[in-house]
Amino acid sequence: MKAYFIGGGIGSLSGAAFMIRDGGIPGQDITIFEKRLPYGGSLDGTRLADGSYSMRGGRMLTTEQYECTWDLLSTIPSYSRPKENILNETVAFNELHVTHAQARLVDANRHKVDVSTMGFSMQDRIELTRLTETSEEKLGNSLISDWLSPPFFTTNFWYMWQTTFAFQTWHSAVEFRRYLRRFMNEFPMMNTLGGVKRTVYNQYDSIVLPLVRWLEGRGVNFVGGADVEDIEIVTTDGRHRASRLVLNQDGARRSIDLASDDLVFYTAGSMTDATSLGSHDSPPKPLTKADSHGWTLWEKLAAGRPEFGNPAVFNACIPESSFESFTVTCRNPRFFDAMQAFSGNVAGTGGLVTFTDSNWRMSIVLYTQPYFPNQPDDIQIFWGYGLFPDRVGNFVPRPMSECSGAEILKELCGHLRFPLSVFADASCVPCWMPYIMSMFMPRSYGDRPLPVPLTSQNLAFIGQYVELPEDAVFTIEYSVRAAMHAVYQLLKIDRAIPPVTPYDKSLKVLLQSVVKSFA
Amino acid sequence: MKAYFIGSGIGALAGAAFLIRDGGVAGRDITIYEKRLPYGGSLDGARLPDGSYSLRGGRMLTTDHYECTWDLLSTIPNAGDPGRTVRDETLAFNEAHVAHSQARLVDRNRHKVDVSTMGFTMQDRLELVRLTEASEDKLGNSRITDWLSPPFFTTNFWFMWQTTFAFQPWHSAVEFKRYLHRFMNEFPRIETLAGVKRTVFNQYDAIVVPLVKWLEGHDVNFAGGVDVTDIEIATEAGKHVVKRLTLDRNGKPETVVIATDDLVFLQNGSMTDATSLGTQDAPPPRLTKQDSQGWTLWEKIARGRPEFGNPAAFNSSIPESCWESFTVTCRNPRFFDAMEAFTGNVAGTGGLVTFTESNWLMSVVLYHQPHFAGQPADVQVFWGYALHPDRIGNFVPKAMADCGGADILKELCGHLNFDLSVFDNATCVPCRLPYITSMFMPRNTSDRPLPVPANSKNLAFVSQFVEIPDDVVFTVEYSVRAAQMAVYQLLGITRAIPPITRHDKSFRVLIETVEKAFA
Repeated sequence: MKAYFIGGGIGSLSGAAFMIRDGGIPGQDITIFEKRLPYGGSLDGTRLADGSYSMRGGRMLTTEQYECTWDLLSTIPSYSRPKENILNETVAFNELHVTHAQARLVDANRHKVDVSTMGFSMQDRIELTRLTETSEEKLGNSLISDWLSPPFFTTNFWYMWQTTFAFQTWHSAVEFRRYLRRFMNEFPMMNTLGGVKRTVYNQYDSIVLPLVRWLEGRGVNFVGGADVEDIEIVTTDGRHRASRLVLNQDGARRSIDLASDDLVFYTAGSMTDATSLGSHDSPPKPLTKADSHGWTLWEKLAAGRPEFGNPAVFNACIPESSFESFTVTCRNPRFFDAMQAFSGNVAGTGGLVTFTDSNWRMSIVLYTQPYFPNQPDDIQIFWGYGLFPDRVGNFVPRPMSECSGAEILKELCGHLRFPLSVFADASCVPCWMPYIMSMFMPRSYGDRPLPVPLTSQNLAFIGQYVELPEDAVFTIEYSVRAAMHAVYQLLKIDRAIPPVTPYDKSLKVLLQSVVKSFA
Repeated sequence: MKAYFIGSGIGALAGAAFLIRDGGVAGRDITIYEKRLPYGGSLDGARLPDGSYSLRGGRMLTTDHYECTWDLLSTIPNAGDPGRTVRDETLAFNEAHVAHSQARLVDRNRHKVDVSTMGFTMQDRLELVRLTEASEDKLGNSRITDWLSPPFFTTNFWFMWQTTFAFQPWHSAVEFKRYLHRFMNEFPRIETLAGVKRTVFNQYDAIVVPLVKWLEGHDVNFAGGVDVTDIEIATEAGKHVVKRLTLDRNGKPETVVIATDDLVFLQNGSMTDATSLGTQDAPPPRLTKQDSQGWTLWEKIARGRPEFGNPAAFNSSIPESCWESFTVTCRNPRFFDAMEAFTGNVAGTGGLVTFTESNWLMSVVLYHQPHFAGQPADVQVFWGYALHPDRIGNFVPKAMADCGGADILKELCGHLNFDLSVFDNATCVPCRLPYITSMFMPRNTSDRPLPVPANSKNLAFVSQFVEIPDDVVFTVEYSVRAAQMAVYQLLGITRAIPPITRHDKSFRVLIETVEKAFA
């Protein structure tokens, strides 16, 4: 038996780890193909050639959810402290650096908005309850704005929830409901982000790197620069079997014939597909899937096989699925000092700061420094993003997507009324992400394949675009859980998968949520 | 005994006049140094070489306050009609031209907003009363936004109060409180600006010119083009004594030895420091104190002498202290005609017209014409300003700071829905004022020196950046009062300084204010 993972994201890495740890498969029998190095997929974090840092995302974790992720990471030793596993390291770190945001929303007058109240009217509460209590079947492929009225989208709650999780009003009502239920215990502490946990460093260094090292230590074959162009499928009696992989390895085509007991785990779709970086002086290129070909294989496999899902639902409307992030490398402490004084939060304890007046709907977050191993002492790094990168700015007369890093910093200074000199010597790297919220697009049941489709014999789907009951996408957990499902099912492992913790059934959480919604 | 004034703003001119009138000092013993002509400092008003007019500010006076100013101007003969004092002339003018604004706020639908109500909720009233009643000790260096919630900043009251006095939400709560107390009698008539008094011409022609003429008539030495670069201070028995001034006279260094009974009056800091003019086609250059060196002397002598104040509290954050004004020279009557028809106010009776939806927060004011001595009959001049010059316009896709005069007129026409042809042949001169509201920056008591610091023997501070209990900065009165206090104290003059009129202790004013707050 051999196993092939197509794509080197967190789903594949954790799938390989579960095979080894829980399935007893030797690492040598596992191969991970990745077209675009480094490994880790969307979980990036890197120092660029010019010394600027870049992260596409600013991922938050919780310890109350993320059951499969912690189940995995409790096995993996930390990269910098190999005697400790990542779970323990992260928990200890978060005990030292407790998130308690004191400037979650900032308005046009640079007011730190009082967010102890959610700002709900009775109608907002009724509509929200109605949405939460409606079945997924009934919600169908409706939009959030089909269930909630315009005033809801001006509440403190919406500003906070939207920017914490990156929801847009036109996104899937089903997914919004899943978030409400999955993260209901966060609702009473939404204003302080009190439940959010951070990794010690960025997620590439804190999660991907140790996981890759653990897998390498067990003989897993990592094949970089390998683009799997096709999975040939043989269908017998309605059962699909992957029979051959066609790869383009650094320009040379080759194929791998699959034995009948071989397994293929395919990461279908990617939220970071077609991303591109700009620079301090130039905007990122507006790439699409036509440039990246990142969705081609899923589209090919799904054509004529409805049980393999419907990628067009997710990747057909960039204006609904894109946002733009930016990473700022500060080379003097002025900005961090000014921001810490203004927000009342030491870097790493504040969570997101969102500018409610921002046309771009810009948020930033200052991490505990250093955020990269080997980051020089005189360098500080923060991350931000804008949910409406196609709108013209408040201080820069251009859409964010047409702005260089320097212009993004000017816009940020405008909202904060900081002199531009706080960013002397800083560099800002903007990052265009056309499909970053594509998994939030309105979908019908069936648009996402099951991790192991009913008709599939040896082909599993992992990643953010598979159907898992109850869990919420745009989380590391979702990819890890999908991988666990796929591996356990195909290998018939009878260890229990950690269940989704039902906070929405907890009386305590329900009561706290009701109290908060009336605060 | 000789007296030296460093800087020739209204404080210095008033100080010299008080020395002569109330101290019996001979004019020839008084020297006024000015680095940048003309005399008068911030109180400018000029015809540029191309025939356009320019005013950096649009100063309003009142007769119910400005006690020291009228005490001074009741002595100074009017320039055009020497038989009358400036005070009498101004009073007569204001009886003929009564301010009664009928279009104080204009919204995006070009509605003349009904401003007979302040728009307060009960919470606004409670918060405002709490702020008004808090002691300065307790207010400390807090900001207005620390005391008033976001909805307050959307009230009619705030729009009117903010634009009348140029407050920003992040400015000093102490100064805002002082304004509320000092001008409490304006509160019940804030919507018509009925209490506002105007000078006959611009303040350079109406106040500075007659005052300079009067001082010259008393043989005061005016030394233009002289930059005082250092004040040498010796400390003897705990008292600071000025020993020597170092001057730069048109590039040539000079020193002036200060005798034991000589007096030095320093204008520390300037709200119009580093101002720059643009043109009809070009924005003003972005100067800072590095270009002007206007704060250097105060910074130098305050170092290590905390009793001389802390300039950094005021001049360190241009984004919080900057706004931009503009002066428009109309060469046909179309704009004035259209504006008078729209507002219902003859020029000179309307006061500020503020556009509430303006991203720049723009206001204009049409003066009684002519506004300059010698202004041709077919020329009309008005002034405007915007509190957020770094924001992108509503009709011009640029920050105001990046606009030439023509762009500003286009933006103004946009708000008024006037055809651009109303400004045929007009010229608009924009003026960038990076420190214009610097005296409103949050401060501690010790950040401003007393007019005569406790341990100063012969050095006085006369400016907007000194500590005078109860009086309010950003007024002509403040500089005049500071000068009167400094002169009277150093010369031991026993004549009483006109006290601050306590309208806030007047039962009638209090009742009217409460009524208005509930209107």
